[in-house]
Amino acid sequence: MVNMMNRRGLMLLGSVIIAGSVMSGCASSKNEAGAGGKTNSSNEAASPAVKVEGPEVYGIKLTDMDAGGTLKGQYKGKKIVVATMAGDTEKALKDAAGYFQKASGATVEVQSFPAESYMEKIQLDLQTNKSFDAVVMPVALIHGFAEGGLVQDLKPYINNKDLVSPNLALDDFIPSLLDIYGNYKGKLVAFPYKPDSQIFFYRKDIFEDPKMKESFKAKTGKELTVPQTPEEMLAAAKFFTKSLNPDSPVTYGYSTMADNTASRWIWTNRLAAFGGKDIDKDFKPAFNNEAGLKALQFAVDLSKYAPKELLTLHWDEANTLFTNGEVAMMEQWPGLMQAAESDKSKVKGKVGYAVTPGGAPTMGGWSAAMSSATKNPELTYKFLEYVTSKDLEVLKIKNNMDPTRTSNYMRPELKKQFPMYPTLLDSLTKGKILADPDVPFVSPKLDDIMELNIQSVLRGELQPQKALDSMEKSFNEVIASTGIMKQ
Amino acid sequence: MKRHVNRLIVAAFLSVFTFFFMFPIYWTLTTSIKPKEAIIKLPPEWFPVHFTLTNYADVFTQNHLLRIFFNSLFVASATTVITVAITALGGYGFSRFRFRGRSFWVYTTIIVRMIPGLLFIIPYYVMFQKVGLLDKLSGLVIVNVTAALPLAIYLFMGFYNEMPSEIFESATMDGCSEYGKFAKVALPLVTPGIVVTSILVFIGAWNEFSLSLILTFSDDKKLLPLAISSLIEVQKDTPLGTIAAAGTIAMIPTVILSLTTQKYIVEGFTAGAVKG
Repeated sequence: MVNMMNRRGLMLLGSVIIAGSVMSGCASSKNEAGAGGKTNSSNEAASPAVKVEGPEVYGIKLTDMDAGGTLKGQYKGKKIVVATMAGDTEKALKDAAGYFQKASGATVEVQSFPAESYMEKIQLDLQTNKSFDAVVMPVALIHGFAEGGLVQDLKPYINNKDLVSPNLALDDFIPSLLDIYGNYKGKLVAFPYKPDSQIFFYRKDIFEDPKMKESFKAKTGKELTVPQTPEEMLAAAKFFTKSLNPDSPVTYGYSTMADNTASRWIWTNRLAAFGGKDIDKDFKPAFNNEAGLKALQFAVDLSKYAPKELLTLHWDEANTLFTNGEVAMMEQWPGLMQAAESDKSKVKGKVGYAVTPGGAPTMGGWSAAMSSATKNPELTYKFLEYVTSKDLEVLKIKNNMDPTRTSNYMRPELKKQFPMYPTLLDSLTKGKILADPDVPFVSPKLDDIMELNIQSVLRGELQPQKALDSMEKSFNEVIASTGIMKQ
Repeated sequence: MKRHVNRLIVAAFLSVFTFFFMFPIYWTLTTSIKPKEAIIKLPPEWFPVHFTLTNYADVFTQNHLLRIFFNSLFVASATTVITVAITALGGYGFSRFRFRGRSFWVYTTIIVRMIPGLLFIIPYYVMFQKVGLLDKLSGLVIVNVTAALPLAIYLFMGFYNEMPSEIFESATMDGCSEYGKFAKVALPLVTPGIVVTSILVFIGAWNEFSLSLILTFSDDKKLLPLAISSLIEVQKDTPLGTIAAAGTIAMIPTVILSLTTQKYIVEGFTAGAVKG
């Protein structure tokens, strides 16, 4: 997802890298009592908690507005700055910051930057100006910051009994999210903030149509069911493609967004399903094998049932095709749900959700981390803990930030409001490959390499095996240039 | 007959160019007043059928664009005034006086203009960090003035060079001091040049993106290009109507400036260096 941003921002990247190499780097100062030390909260342990009235969201009355009684206005006069991308993440953080300020007494400034350039801006500041106390960013970038020592381990703060909220419940985070989003080389460098997984959206109405079922059986000899395997997906895509089956109620069997920032996910959605991986734990490419080849050949086969302009489709265009009722099946990020279920959608109430066929969807996701240079580590930790707490997660849903905690997916109010949630939880549990290869510093570059090769294969200009060879070679060169590859 | 054919060819070319220049503006304007479903309609709705002001309401209520608009207005206006004040004098000096190293400094000034602006961003960032100018509108004015100086000096030199030397000789004979010649003779004559330079500098500062992205942080210091760019999100439908409304609002000052000073612009383009 990193390179979904406009390439204009990348013009600044060169400058940022130069700056990073010539300027002061990865300082890790701790200016407050901090992790293991005596805390402000312990100093004021006797103080009563500040009463903050929680709102009612989706019929749920939020009650844990003072982090289990650990926020007592004890941070009055202090200020932290949180940096993120402009838009929903910013709005969600600002909403939560309002309550946090009341409970803690501190001031929280949320600074946001445009989607096309926030990465460079935030990295530059972390390396030089060091004005951010916390950052909320995509997982792969946070791991890069962790490798560079720009963000710090949260475990010492969690282990500080005087500081930590009694309601933290680390084991309530979806285990795979805490592991993939939060952990890096044995440290907990971030809390999961926004989960993301490719979801299989399908037209429930046509999959359940008795006429379609009968016709499918007559043509294939099999029952028409919601595809769970790649083979079933291919058969359904072929059946629903109007050019091959004039009786199909839709034009295309399959679609997704597959422009030169997103086409790799058609491949990665099947890569793990066939037993492959993009990068192994030693930062070596792990896709040039039978699994990689099968997944890539599958992407080629599937694209035959997609719109001709598949390789130019991005978010808006791809979603419009689906919401206009022209597509039977689509793999997309959860945000499609809002468009599909909106009043203007022609498929409102007709969409079903499932785990991507093969059962190993590609995962995205954002996490919240603490800068190594923060002058208020204790306060910053409390903010991160607060915005990822069980109750505050419910508050951020209205800004399209889905929960990262299992218990929130179990709330009946949310299950009723968001019928996709059981599928999302299932997908998040099964996801194995990240949308951007989890290699510090070079993740966007690796995205570009994959896009270049996969686009060439889907255009018919390159054979799948040659593309895998080319990708492996380029991956090795780029990753070797970082010096992080284990020997 | 040949004259008519020539005129027809010119008219055809002008029509094509006018269409290419005007259509994006027309499309932005009409998109800003269309309801969402009409914006994404296929085939496109070339002439709006239904009108709405919701997009403008969103710009002001949800995106706090009014404050940002005034930030941009302050930065662009201050940049223009300071730049013109400095370069009207600088251009005069380079044009009228012969001094040791003159050519060197003229070419150095012009060469600075040829260096890609992105190269200056990191040095600016470091300097501003040291002197406390990060996240300050005054800092943006400083960098915008610096960026505009070479072109403005070059333009003013062209305007002053066009003035006949006899005017200055007469002024000398009338007992005018060097400052008097500048203030009472050159400056009134260079008014079209001041207008042209002001518009170019204003538009440059008004549209500037990269420097404000790197040098500002907080919401209350954002400028229009940055704020409009922030309306585009990943994994979310692009709010085309809101962006068009914000773009339309952003066009207003430059359009007003251009229309109200059209007379001077024509004079300026025919009098100064910009005539090519």
